[in-house]
Amino acid sequence: MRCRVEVLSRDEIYDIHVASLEVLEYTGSTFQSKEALKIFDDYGAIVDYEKFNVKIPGYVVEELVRKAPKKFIIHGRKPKYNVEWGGKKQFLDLGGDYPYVIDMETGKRRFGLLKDCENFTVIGDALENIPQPYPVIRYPHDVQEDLQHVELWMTHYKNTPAPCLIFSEDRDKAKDCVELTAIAAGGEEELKKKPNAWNAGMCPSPPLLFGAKLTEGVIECARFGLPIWIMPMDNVGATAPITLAGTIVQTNATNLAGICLTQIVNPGVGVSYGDISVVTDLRTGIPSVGCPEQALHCVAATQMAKYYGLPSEIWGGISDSKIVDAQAGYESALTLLPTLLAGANRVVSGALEYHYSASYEMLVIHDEIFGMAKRMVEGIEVNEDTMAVPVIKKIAPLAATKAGGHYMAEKHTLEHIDKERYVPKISDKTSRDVWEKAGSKDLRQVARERVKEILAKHVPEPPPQDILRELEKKAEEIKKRILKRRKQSQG
Amino acid sequence: MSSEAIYGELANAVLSFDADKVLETTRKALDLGLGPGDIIENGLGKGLKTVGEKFERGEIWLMHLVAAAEAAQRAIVELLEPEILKRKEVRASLGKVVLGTVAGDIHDIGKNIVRALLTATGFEVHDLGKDVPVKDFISKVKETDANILAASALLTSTAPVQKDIIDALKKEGLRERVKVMVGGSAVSAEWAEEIGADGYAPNAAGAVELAKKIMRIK
Repeated sequence: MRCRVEVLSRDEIYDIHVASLEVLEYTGSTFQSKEALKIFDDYGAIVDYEKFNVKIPGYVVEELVRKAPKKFIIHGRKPKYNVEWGGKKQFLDLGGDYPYVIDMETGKRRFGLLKDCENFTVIGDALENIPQPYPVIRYPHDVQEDLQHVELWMTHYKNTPAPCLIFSEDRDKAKDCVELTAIAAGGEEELKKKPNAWNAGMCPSPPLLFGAKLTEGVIECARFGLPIWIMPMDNVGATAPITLAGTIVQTNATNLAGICLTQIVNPGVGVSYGDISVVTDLRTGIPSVGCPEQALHCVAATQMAKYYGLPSEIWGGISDSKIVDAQAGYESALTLLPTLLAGANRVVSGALEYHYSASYEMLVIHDEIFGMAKRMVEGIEVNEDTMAVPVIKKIAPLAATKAGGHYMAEKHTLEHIDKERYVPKISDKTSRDVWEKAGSKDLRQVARERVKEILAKHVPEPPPQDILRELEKKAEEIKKRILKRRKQSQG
Repeated sequence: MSSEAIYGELANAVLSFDADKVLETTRKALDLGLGPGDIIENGLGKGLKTVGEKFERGEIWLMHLVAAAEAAQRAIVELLEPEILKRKEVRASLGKVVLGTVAGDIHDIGKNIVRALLTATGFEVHDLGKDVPVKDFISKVKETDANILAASALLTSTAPVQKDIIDALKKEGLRERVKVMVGGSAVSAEWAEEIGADGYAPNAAGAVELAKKIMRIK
């Protein structure tokens, strides 16, 4: 029996669904993009162009949400690197948009650089639970703003054979990335047939506001059939109601509005139901992610995603702590475990300080926490073989004999080890003597050494050289185009 | 069948972690006229060495190590040692070890793993079992002229018995003749030093290394 956690009853899920429809139909959501407003208008929604307001009747929302696929595949460079979103698949994502990195050498916070983007992709590529690593720093400080998406795309592609990512902060950037992605796919037709990238996110600004640029980037991706990742970041008690139920209604309505847009633009395009909500700390006003309400919210959001049968990306799993310490560990574990037990498809890793700073050490620690939590999701398999009565009958009576009885050398043991046991990667399980001889290291140090080992040894599968050359040529062409645009806009 | 081929088969049997297969192949080797000492050294021993290396590299788990050692131990105790006695050969052993879990303690899994590993490595092990009175350790040391006495204790309440054993050895004038190894969850390097033992190991593989060190075997 697989382990399950739920915080909403079936009736409560339905109540939240109906409440969300009421919000979408009578209050509506705000789309600042003229193009989006027109798309809704043409489809029959009630659009107020002056107020940027879109009201969608409940039955239309339900009809559109039904068009979104329950699961889909994003193609990697080879079939073995394909990633499936939805169903029972669960994995760890790298988070994103972190402005800062905690420097491993100094332990101090600094701006993220392009090298960090490379490093995080390589480490993610090496770790077991991260099938689609990507550059976690979206605005590398050493690259000019209008060139960042191109540099990020190339850095990402060079350092993992996993699916590509479209950095779609606006339509132009999305188009640039789609051009590159089409080359990697082997042409635009191939790209449409076998999407090999996903969209870096439709990030509505609560309450229920969809900015123009990001939305237009998303529309561009949806047209090419590239899966969209919706990620509302409602802030409980600040940009969302103080009650968790109220926030869930708003988060859910936001997801549904975004899903509607994608399904009007391209019915059947993959979309993931998302939630990266945070909880306003009552004293500081800082958005907290490592608190009990966050865990509850993550479980509730996962249940809502499952109600609609949609793939989910629910960001339980990180911490408010500033350093790798006990708080970082317990907050990560206490938000990741229930989210995973609820059945979320993707959870988050590699950060500290709410969604502010990427942490190398936490990335490998989160990989460990995820591995443990995943084992708990698998639960206990009970059948005649696993109940092991014959081997108990054989061994137990030997306890009284001089030879003694134990299960370690039994065939039954050897046959079941791999399925029954999670093997820790960085947690210390040695005796005190052995631990002391190895230098009495704490987890932070062990994690740091693991990161350094990966960076020194792991070589991601290199891209095909001919395609890489073509991509480099195209990237140069795009950069020239951007510089020209920059000059023109500077007049 | 060449003796090289049968040695290879023995090693592979150990690497399959299947005791029945190890016993069957050992019987076959004896039937083909191979000497019991050679079977241990060139066949079972080679297999165990590979198992040990795989364990060190993290390719297999402790359970595999124990299963391989116990399979080899069974072949040695059930088939090869009787054959050595029958042929009146002197078994080349790495050393004689008297082993037991101390009086008051019935937690013997660690001790049993140590027994299997020591036997499989080539030590002559005299296992007294669990809840073993001090006097039984002493008489067995006398009887076998053992090189090493190894006593395990899991409970903090039974660890002091290890000290009683050392005191008894002194009283009997045996302390200089036999080295004392202590182990078990209740035991630490500090404790070993405090009671005047010759060595402590935190795990079964460590116990084998310690026994080798005591016997000055590389």
